[in-house]
Amino acid sequence: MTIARSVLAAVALLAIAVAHADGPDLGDVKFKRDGPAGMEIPPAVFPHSMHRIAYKCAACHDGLFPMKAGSTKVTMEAIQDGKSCGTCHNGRLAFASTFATCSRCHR
Amino acid sequence: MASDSRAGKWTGPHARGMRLFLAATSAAGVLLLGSCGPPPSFLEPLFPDAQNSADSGKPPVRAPRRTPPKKEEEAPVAKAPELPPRPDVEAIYATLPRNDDGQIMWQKALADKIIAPKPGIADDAKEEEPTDMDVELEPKGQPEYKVVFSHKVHTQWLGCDNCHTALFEMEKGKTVITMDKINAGQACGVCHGKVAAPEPTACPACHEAMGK
Repeated sequence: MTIARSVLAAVALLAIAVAHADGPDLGDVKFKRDGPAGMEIPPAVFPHSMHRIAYKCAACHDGLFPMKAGSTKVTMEAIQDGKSCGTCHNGRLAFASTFATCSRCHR
Repeated sequence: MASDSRAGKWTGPHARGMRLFLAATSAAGVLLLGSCGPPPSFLEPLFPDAQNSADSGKPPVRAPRRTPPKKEEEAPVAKAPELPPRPDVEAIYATLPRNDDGQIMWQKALADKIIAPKPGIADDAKEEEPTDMDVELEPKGQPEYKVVFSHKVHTQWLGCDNCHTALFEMEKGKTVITMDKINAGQACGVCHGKVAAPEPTACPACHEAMGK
């Protein structure tokens, strides 16, 4: 029994380790949806990690986005107008918001 | 009344007109001939540009009758300013160093030059010198919990106004920092635990003495 238990514990530990390695990073911000009911598109996720590779915190905070999650309303209209995420996600600095790129944020 | 052609003489009321017409057509014919081929020798003074093609066996070369219109100089097309190369974030992401909890060690990534984050969105965003100032924070009678806050490390990412004075007063000790506050997402906890992991790991990341 003790051997079985230790094996089980080892497997569980391994599973946790893998989950950590593949799991979400600190700072992945999942948006709350305020869109029309019945939409099947999942809410957007903002990965801080991907953005920190290219930009320092101060590039966006607090000029574009206040630090507190949820304090900025992000709409697709604003993005299309070159505001909010669209400041960079315009096809010039980063991938643009098009029907080909929905799932890169809404996932 | 009628012209007496058999006599080879134009007479009658239209004779003057006919003579003028004949003269004009003859002159036109001569000019036409002259422009089509080598002019007869007696007409050479009239066609100074023409060369006798019979000598060279080549077609005559003449100066163009009209000078071709001057080509308008093309206006230079305004070029979009060249962008600095984009980092391949996906590829770099896979190589980021991680701590024991599997979280990214951003400070190490920066120090090891795995990443080179830009200070601003604008193409010409300027890098600001980090503020080199350590602040020792030690709870009364508990030196084991002493924290050395490095401005240098933090200002590599952030500007002064990101923290001062909404989060922390400038004056040392004026803002009381407790672990309860941090765990509740206040003070250091605004970032640490949410978007910044302890480096290298857990308590000794800040409370150095606890790692000894």
